[in-house]
Amino acid sequence: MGTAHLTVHWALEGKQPGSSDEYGILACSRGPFSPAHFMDIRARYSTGTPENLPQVTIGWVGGGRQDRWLLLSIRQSSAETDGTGRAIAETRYFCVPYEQVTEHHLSYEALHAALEACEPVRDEPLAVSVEAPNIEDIAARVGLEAISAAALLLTDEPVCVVGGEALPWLERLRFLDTVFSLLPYGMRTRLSASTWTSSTAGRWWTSKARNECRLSFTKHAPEGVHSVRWGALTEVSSSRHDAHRYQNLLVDRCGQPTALIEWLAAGTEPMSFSPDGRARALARLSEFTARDDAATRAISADQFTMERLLNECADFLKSRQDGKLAEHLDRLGNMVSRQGGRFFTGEQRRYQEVIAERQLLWTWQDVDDDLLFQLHAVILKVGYGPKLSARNMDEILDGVGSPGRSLLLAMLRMPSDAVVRLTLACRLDDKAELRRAFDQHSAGDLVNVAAREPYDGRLIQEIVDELARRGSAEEGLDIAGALREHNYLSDAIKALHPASIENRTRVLRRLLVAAYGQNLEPMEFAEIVGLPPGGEPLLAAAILSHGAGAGETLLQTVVLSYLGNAGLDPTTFMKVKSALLEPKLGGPAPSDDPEAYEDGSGNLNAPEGAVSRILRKLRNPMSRGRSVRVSSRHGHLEEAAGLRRQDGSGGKDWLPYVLLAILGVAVVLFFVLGYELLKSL
Amino acid sequence: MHPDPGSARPSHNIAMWGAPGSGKTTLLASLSIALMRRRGPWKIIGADDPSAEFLEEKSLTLSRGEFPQATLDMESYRWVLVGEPKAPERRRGRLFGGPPKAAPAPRVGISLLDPPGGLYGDRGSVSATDQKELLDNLVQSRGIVFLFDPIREFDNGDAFDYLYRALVQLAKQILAGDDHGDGKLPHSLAVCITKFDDRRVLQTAERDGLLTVDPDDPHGFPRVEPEDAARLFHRLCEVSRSGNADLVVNALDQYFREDRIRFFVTSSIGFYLDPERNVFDARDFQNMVPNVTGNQQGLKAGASKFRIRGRVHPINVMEPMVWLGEQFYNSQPNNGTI
Amino acid sequence: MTVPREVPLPTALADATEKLDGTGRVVVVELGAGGITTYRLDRDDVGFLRCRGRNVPWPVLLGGRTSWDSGDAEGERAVLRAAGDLSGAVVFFVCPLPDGSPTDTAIAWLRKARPEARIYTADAVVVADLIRAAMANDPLRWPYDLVLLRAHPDGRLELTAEQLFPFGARRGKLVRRELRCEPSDAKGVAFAVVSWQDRDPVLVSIQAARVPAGRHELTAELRRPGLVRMSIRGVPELTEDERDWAELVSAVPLRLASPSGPMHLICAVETCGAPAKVEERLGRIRQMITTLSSELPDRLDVSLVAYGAHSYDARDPDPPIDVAAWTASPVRALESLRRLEDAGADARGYPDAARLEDMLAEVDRRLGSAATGRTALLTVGERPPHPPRVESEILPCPARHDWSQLLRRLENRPGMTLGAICDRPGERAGRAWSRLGGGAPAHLEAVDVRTLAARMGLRRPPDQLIPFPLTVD
Repeated sequence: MGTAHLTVHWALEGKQPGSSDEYGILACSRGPFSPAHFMDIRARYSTGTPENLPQVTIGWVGGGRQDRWLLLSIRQSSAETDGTGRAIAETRYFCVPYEQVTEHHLSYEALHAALEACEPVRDEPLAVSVEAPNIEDIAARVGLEAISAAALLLTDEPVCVVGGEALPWLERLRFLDTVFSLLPYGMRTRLSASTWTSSTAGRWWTSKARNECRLSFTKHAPEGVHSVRWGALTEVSSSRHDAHRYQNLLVDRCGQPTALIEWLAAGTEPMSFSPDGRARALARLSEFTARDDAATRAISADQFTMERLLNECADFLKSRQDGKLAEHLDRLGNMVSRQGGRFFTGEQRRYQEVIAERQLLWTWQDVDDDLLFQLHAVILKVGYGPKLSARNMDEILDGVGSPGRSLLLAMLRMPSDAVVRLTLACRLDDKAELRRAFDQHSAGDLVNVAAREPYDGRLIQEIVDELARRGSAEEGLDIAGALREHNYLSDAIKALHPASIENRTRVLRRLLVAAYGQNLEPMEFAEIVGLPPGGEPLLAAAILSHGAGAGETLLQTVVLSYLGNAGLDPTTFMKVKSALLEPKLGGPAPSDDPEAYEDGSGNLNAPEGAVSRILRKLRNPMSRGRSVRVSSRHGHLEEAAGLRRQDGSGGKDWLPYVLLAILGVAVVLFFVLGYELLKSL
Repeated sequence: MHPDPGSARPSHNIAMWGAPGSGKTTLLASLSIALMRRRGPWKIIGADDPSAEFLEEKSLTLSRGEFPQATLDMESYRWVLVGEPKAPERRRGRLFGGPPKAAPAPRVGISLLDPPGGLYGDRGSVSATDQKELLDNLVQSRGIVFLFDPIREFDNGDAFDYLYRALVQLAKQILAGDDHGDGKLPHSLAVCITKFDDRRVLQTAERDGLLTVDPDDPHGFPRVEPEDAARLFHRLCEVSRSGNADLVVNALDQYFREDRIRFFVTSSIGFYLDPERNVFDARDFQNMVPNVTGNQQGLKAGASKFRIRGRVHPINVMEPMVWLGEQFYNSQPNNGTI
Repeated sequence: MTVPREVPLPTALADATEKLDGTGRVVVVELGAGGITTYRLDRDDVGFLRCRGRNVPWPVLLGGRTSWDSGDAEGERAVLRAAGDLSGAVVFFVCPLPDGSPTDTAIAWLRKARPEARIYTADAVVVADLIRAAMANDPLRWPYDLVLLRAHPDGRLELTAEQLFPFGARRGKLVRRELRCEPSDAKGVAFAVVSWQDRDPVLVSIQAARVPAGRHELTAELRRPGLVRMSIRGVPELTEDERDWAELVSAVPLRLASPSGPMHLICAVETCGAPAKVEERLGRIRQMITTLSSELPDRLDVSLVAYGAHSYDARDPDPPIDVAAWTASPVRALESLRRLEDAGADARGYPDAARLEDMLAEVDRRLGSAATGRTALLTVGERPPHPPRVESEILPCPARHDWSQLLRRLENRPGMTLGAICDRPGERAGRAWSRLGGGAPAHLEAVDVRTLAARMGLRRPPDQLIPFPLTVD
């Protein structure tokens, strides 16, 4: 990164408002370029009549050793009209000395940003500072189209990009930058490009100049012009040897786009698109291979081949050519292995599309089980390897309808994480596989998996069983921690037994036993049944107002009546009641122990339940009131706000009491919710 | 409208020729509409996607009431003029006098160059590259559509500038080599007097009694008979501001064979028709209205200060192209596809 | 010597003068103590009697002698010369009773010269007084008129004359007349009396006085022909006015800027164009209505018409002209104006002209053909109207309204006044706006609404002075 300091020559093209003349150079800087020079430059880079402005065109001027310039022109609309009432477009041309841009490998976007803001003074050349671009930003944009376009430019023929009309002009400029970054920097002395060129701008597309190349977005590919469709891969015909070769090399090396671009950018020696220039470009690109590590060097994947092979696999499946299918699968497998499981951005997306479209992961009838497994294993590696992510798993399972055993097994055999493995093992309905899967994971992993949305009822049941099996002796602490982390899986268990509170209570009871053993210590009880922060003064106030016996009232009137309405089985309820009121079991009341507040609240806050959300809403007026008081230290703004507030609250002395009452009920509700976990006692 | 590749490779170049703002692009834009409005034996189709798209899009633009934006840089289009594959006797002796049988649909390929008008002028700022390319194109072309903009002639009087310079260069290049015994250029020249819908043009024609109405025309549009078009041209040259527009006439006579010049009184947008009455009204026929100027954000790129008021009824827009096509066709030894 | 005395001398003299026409003469020759005095009476161009007298004393006549004898030819010649030319005249000789003095001889010679002349012996009569009385008693040969201004309903002022004294009126004739005075300059209101000779007015007298504005009763007395004494109660005496007639007449404004009776003010405003301009136009109208409603309480009706631009777009047809208020009270009109202010400018539509002609058509239609009394059309805008047919770059009015014709109809309406405020200064306002402005429109940026109202005759300008009295209608 750094800053380049440039001396830029410029010209302004347009018409005098109201004039009936043609476009011409209205002003230009003194120096090596006269208005006539600029008219020639204009003619050379004429991109037709624009459909949308602004439009940025880049090119080159000069050719001698001491006389190399990059050209950037910006065409914008103006509010003026000419003699026949037509809007006047205004174009600014900038000539930048090539040697001044090479050190910092300036991008066209960076040049544009700096030049666009320039206001020329009389006929002075501009002194402009330009920040060097962030190569990683450019590297992040490398995609199929850019690789295709960069390679096609090596045909020494114009290239157009179609289907990109909807892109904003800046995106198009960035794309041009990305394409150029995939060529040695020195080629910019012979490259021209535009964010838009009319498809009927004959001169641009049929330019006679050799050893230079042209790239532009346009609407329709003119005849004889290579076209790259936006969002798609364009394979360079192998008959265009250099370009084809360049494309393959680029595809290989795109695993490390940032390093690649830096390497190419360092090649600032001017290069043309002559056969010699192209050979030098290829050499430069190949050199990047040589200095890379062994793994990268081994890659020679041909992604177009891969795509073709996938398609052919599908053809063979349909036509039952099992032998050929197996052969293809071997080739595919080898290719993926050779690649070391590396893919560049977007590559697998394309494969996945083919896989889905051609139903390669479906359970094909009449196909030999082994072959089917091989098919699925290879296809998964190509489309989703090397490691199967949970997202991909979901996508695959959604896509194939009812997944066959072969597919599930193949997926299960892929490297993956706990969620994927447990889900698949569970789906597979194979005790041994499930056992193996469980054995690989800790209790914490299991709880995490159970808590994952969307909830998988069967898996949750299996996990609860497994956790109960492991019990508190082995991993009780882990289980407790993980359960706390996920709010005791309340939501998941609700999904498991949506209708029955009784069953939910039972499952929770099993979990608590697994985590804490048969009986809860008071501290554990408090850990589970916490109160949210913020309600303490209210609770204290309510208890004080009640006076002696508040604890009993709380239990009797609030907790018991709440649980009584919950729909518990009468037996369970009686148990709850006796456990609640039995003095022998009573520990210190949760509200008496300040630590219990803190411990309990921290966890309960994390997954926000419905009650908590309600609470939050209700607390809002309160917290706003508080922030008023806090912010009133800050001066006049608050004074004004305070005045307004005073007006607003005048004559509403009852309001705080109502709020307090609501908050009180809410706090108690929350408290009661915690108690639900104890119901099965 | 998809091209039929290979069957009609455009091989005849037509160059548009006219001062800036004379309406070259608007004329081209109205071609499609002219086709739809008028029944005739000829169609124009794009020979490639961009050219086909141009016809469609620009006619949509005009139908929306917008004028095409000023041509900034040279554009080229490739079209095919396709005749009617009808019973041969109807055509016999009329357009193409050729052998009646077989009668394939006649096709004429047209490559049309639409340069910014300024390239024809004598402006120091015009690039040599541009002018050379234009001249090369003129040399190669067989037909020229010269747009004479009487309004510009009234106001600026410089139509001559835009014609003469290029004409002399062209003559030098072609006649110097000389297979042209008669000392005339081999081109066919369609002189289009544009902006017939403008008050001043229509009134000039009216004053000179050149207006007629085709009794079969349901709209009753005034028109200038083909044989009177040249008279109107002379007349308009006389009222020119510079006074040397008569030189235009002389120059044309001097460089082109008489049977290869034809005059057309054209209007790309035509006259305004009240949608209810649907008949030409001499009291109210202007079809071009100023756009609202209240837009403080500035005009959209290419937006014009004017818009089209009603529907577009192109006048004599197809005809110059068809005439040139016929010229090409007739000059071809075997009037097949050319 | 007997003296025939048919009628007494005063009567005979009055009779003779009365019968005098433009060519005749009456000569009275008095032979008295002071010599022979000749009074020659005739009429001037205007019919005034005038009298020239000559006196030749006896010693001059007698030439040093004390008496003549009757044959003294020289004496006779001297006497006849003193009597002057008596030919063609009605002649009266007035002499004392015969007493033997040269008088007798002289009268004898005169009688010899004009035997038909009547001879009066009048010791007691002072001939000069008799003649003075005859002249004063002479009846008016032409009527005397007072010059007044008549204000037409639209405020236009017209000089007129109303009779003070008819033909034949005699001295002492008193006339009372009601009239109205407007403020005048320091020299006062001029009360000019003219008589008419054939059709030409001849100024008899101009007297002036500072008369307070308002109705007054003028008393005029014919003191004698050529002398009218005028007085107005509560006003100091009228004095001779030294201003010449041309000066007085040129000081009369074309219009009396003093509205009387109800007034209908129609404000038409162009609501297309730049929002700031539209706001300013509406602001001017607000000012105008507010100003006039306070000056003409209960006498002002206001109409408010807003017009914009033609769309020339079939998808967006022109709405009817917005008549926001018609003959409404100023208060109601101001409410409607508020609505227009809220709506603001309409940026759409044809940019180079406005529906001025549609507005005129609507106003004309609403005013109808019946007389409507004092009406003022104030148009505020900028753009020209559309022509009725293709005649310029400006597109014709789709409804084919002809602004020029409509405007002419409005101009010719009795009681109609036109005024305009144009965004552009007068010289660039264009033909239509000149006519809408009744000559020249006021410039939006510079207009003073009060001055404009005064110019349109909607209110009296503070500096309008009327040098003549006005009729009372």
